[in-house]
Amino acid sequence: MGPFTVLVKKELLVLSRDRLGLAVLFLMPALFILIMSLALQDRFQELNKVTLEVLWVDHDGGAFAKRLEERLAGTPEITLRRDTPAQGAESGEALIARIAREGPAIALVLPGGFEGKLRARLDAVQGVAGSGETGSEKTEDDLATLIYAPTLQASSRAFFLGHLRQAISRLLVRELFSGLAPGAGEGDETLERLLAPGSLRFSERFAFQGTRSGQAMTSVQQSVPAWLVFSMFFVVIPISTAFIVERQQGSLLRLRLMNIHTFQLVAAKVLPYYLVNITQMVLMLLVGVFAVPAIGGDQLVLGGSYGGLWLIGSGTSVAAIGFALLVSTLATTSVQATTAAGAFNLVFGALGGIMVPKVVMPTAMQAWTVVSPMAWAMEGFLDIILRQGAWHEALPEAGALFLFGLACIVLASAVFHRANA
Amino acid sequence: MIRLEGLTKSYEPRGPVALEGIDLAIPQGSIFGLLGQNGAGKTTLLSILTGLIGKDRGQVHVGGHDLDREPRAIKALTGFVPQELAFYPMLTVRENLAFYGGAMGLKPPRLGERIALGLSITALEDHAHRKAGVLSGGLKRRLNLAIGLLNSPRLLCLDEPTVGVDPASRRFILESVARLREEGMTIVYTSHYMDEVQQVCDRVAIIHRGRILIEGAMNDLLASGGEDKALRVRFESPPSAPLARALEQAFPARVGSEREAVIPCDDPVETLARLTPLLAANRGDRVASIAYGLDSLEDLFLRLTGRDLGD
Repeated sequence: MGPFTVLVKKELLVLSRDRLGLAVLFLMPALFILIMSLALQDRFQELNKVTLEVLWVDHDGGAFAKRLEERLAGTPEITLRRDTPAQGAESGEALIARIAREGPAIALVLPGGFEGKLRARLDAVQGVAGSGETGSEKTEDDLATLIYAPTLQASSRAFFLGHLRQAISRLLVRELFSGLAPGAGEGDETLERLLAPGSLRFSERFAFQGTRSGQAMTSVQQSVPAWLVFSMFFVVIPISTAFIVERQQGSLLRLRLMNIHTFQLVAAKVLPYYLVNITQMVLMLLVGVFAVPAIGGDQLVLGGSYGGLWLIGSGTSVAAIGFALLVSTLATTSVQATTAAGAFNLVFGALGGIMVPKVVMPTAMQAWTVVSPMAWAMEGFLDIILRQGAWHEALPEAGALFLFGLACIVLASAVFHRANA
Repeated sequence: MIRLEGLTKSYEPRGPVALEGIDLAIPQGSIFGLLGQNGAGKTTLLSILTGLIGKDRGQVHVGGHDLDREPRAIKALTGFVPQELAFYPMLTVRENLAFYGGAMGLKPPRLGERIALGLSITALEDHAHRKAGVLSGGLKRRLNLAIGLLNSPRLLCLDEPTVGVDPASRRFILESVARLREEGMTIVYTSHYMDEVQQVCDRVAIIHRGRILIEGAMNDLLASGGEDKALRVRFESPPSAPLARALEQAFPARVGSEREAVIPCDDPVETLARLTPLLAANRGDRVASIAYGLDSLEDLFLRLTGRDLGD
């Protein structure tokens, strides 16, 4: 065995003895993935499937209101809740206070003249169609009142408003149609099917590049690569601590006396921690595939390119280790190294779409992610996992990460060599 | 074994000089003590000697090799035991020795032989499979020493090898060092413990602010007190004026301090014979001690630097 092999073997041996440190490196990201996947599950589901609870308050009680209630209740994305008679009698202000305090997300309040307003609108339409008269002023009045909980997402509000407008429009169209064709009355299934919005079909497809059928982004597909990248960069702390302790206790001095070049001393750290990083990656992906669905979350879809995963994982590892070595050689104490490393990791993570997914950042902020190597790694993983690209799709990001890591290693060697010259 | 000529080093271009014009010759098979306060230049001297840092000027020859031309050869014949416990606490004693041995290029079966010898010299055989981190302070020091011996060095540099150890381990280390000298190894030894330097070293140099104040064989230095050979008379209180006058008339004596008179001489017996009647004539001046040379290395150090090592 040459000196370099001996150095690598020693690193592996020291690492294997530090069971607590290893446990933190593997369990911390696994826990993050489990927690964040479940915590963000509803937020990501909202992008794909809206489930809204709506309080139904009917002060009208007419036929139109009855049919609207049936339509809304029959919508899978909406859960309709009805007030008790006592609650129904409370004032508008009391209702607002209740919604603010305990929800649900939306309250739909039909006023006493709801039926009349719709009839007036129908009359106006028929007038325009029959004699060319313009509609009456009554059609400009508010049909109903919507009260939103303060925490309601804009997307949910837009969905419900659109759905409500569509449902009322369908009622009006049905009413007009039944006037034109008296035989097609209430309960006509053919007419109902033809007017149903679901009968208007579109071809939908997410922009996946692989042959496997794609899926919309779920929390697990955001969380696994995000916290995987973050944890891989987390090796900066054990590497820098070990390096500085070795320097302070004279082990590195002793090794330099043995004619071992500083580049060898620095580079010997790469292989052991690369193995740690790749093991982290495999474990975290397994957590996404098996553990998250086992506790009620979505299952991670890996994409079709295991080579691509290895490529981007390796690039991320080299970048993380290189950065760790640079911090190790620049810092003079363990406290300084761990503080700096932790701070850099948080900034890289915040900018890199780890803490906050890049897709929800403002456009200007998204442009800033380019300065974070974690963002390059994240994009590379998403190329494979989410966009289901082939291995070469991750090549630009992996290449950038390799270059970043190698530059850091060379710089770290130069700094270390200069400091000991 | 070691020859230094005009060795000069400063860490900044126009900064203070760490070493200035050091001339030193250390013979093969000797234990050479290097004494000085913190920042005096001991570590700089050791670091240049072992090839860890470069020098600005001067010549360094170790074992017949010129440091400028053959630094790797000098490193190969040098063992270094730093003051810090330079090993891996998570590895066992044997694993530490195997690692450092492998790093310096030793291969089986020679690696195994050197490990066995290192364990034997430092009496660590029974602890070979224990993790280094759980050893006592004395055993850790022994492991530190064992690692420095792995490459069969001809020159061994020991930097404070007995810091923080119990008296038994300290004695063991000093005895081990003495045995290594008997096998022909040259040892450069730095320590804050003057008594152990006095006990174990053949030669000593006192370094102060980058310069060597004094250097020579231990016995000669103690006998001369660091200057011309002299008889030192210490009084319980400052000598009376008549006695001081009598001493200065009879000898080229100096009443250097309030209670001490220094009488340079080559023959202490003859000087003592002339001194006794003078002291008898002045019985009121009570004598505390009369000595030829110095009692200890610490006295010498204090006399030369004006401070002790802890300052």
